[in-house]
Amino acid sequence: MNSKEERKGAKHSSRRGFLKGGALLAGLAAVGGVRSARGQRQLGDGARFAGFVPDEAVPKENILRDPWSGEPLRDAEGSLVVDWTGTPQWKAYQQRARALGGPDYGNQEKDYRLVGLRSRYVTSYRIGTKGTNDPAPTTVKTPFLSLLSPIQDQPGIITPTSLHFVDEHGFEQPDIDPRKHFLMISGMVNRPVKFTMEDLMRRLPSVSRIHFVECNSNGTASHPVRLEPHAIPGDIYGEFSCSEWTGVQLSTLLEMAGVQRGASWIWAEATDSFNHGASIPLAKALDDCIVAYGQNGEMLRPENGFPLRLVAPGFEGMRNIKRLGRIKVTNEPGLFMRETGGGYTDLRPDNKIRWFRFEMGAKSIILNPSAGQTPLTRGFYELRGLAWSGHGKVTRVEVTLDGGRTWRDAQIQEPVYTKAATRFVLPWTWNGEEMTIASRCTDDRGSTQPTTAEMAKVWNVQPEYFKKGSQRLWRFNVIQPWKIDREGRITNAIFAI
Amino acid sequence: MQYLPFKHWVAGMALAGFVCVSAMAQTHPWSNVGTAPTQEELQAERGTGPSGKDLPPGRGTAKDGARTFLLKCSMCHGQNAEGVTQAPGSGSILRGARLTGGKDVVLWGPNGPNPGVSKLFYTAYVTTLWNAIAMSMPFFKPGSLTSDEVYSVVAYILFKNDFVKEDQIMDRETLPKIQLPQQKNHIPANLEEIPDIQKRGCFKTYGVCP
Repeated sequence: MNSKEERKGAKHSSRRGFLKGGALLAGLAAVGGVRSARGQRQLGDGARFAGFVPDEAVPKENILRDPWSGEPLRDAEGSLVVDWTGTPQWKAYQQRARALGGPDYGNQEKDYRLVGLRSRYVTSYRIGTKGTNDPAPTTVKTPFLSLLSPIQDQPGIITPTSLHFVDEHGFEQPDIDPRKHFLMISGMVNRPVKFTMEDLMRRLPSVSRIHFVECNSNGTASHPVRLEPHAIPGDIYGEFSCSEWTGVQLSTLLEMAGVQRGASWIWAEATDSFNHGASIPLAKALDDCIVAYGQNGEMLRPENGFPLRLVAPGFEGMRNIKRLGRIKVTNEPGLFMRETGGGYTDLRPDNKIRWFRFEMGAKSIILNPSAGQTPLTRGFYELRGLAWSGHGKVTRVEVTLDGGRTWRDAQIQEPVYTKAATRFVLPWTWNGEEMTIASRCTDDRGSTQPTTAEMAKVWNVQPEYFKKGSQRLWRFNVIQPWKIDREGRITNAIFAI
Repeated sequence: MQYLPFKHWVAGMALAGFVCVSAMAQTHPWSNVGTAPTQEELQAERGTGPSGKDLPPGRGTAKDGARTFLLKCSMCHGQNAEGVTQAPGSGSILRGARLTGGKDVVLWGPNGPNPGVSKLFYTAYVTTLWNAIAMSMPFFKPGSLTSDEVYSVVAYILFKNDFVKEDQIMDRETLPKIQLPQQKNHIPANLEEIPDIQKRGCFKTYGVCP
């Protein structure tokens, strides 16, 4: 039974599903090819498998279908692709597994084989609602207009795509048919050009790089729970996620279009409910911007910009345009709605408005130990966390165990990518003392995270000003301390350093 | 160490030179990928910079704009552009910003940014208003207004804030000439300095812009 199940499982593996998804994007020809293969070949010896179900007995609503033609999906040997969740056959399978393995088995209500499921003991979830004006049902009492990534649960540098933070300037993502989507490049170019998804995904040279995307407001004091003692890392730095992005370098596309002399900016624009647009200096566009269709080994998901998005590494998230449809090359900034008008600019007491800051500053946070965890008990722990900077690579992370009086270097772990989440660790023994711990990051341009007093000096305000939770404290990268009391309880101690 | 015979060196250099020249002349094998966009597709691009050079033909006045505003904007922004927050009876789940009374507003209040101040009043250049309406509005039907409608709604909002007269014509010549009071209060104020990180100086002090 076991080996038979394995073979069946291999046939319907998620990898096959992904490849097939790619083929579907590329064209219906692939599906045609599958059909002819089916005509030539006899079915295997499936009838001898314990779990084999002939086509006519498959519940119709459980068959996966081609999104364009509505035809049932079939794998390369011509077998139907089925999600068995909720079917009598899946119930029968669960009973068999329970009979063989006992009460720990046969409990999986969902068919996990096609795209996978996490263990029911893993409960990481995004915090908040999605987008301004979002009418979707929620129990969140303090409206929070983004879905925050549970960064406290992220063990490595990559954020799972399903937990990537989501900030929408509308709320509902359009249902975009990738076969009808295209990217147009126009403006000060010799040859305005239009690329289909097939052009971008199959024909043009590609790169795959690891970069973070972070909202301008990540860590700002105005976020509802940010200053509370019980704030957990997701409440504090939840608008930060790091992914492997796969796509075409924007420089490749701009070179094909032929940028004219005198151009100095590009405008990138979405095609969705809001047509959000943003300006990016041409030098950045030619440097490391990616027109991405892949994220963490799969196609972008709708909430991350399916089918195409701009990735401007290190720049504020607002400029990483999702559902990218148009790029215009020009010689002045567009000054679009979100680039000016308070949303992404800083007003300070001098009544001057800072705008176009682009790069996100250096930040770091200790994730273990951190608020929200069960209290510490005496003994050894690995102190660890994430650090990042929109300016480049993380070169140094220091940790204080005494509220900022002394700092020691933490070990930065490979891989260290530019404009990407970077792990740091420090072996550490908690001996039951009350203490305030924190980390601070230095990047390869030499900027270090400020203390509260240093930040207040830049802002020309008293430190108390930040504690009011005032709006528009964007780019608030003050050192994030945790307080540990004698019982080992960990709380948010922002402004302690 | 063994030295290369001179004639080999000459031959090598000649070969290298040939390779360089031919590489420079070569276009990428993928340079023909993609198609030329149609005129219609190019016109879907409606954004404009502060110079207004990308503004389309068309015209409108605040008088014309009042009607369009009532039909297509007031359900979220209020009949008098006062802003609506999911008002009962408005039929809208959306929150629209206040768009009126922003001429002499003081942005920074005693406790930080003045809460009654709509983000509109931070705007540095009038073309941002054009971009917001032409590209992004109405919500869910962005870009559906004609150029005349956009000119007239921009004129209406400017009129509601005492920047233009009710019958003042807004078109590609007159619109970019409207000066907004916050333009001089932006740092950097000179748009040419923006792309230069050295001039912005944002990484020197803790990665926070000064």
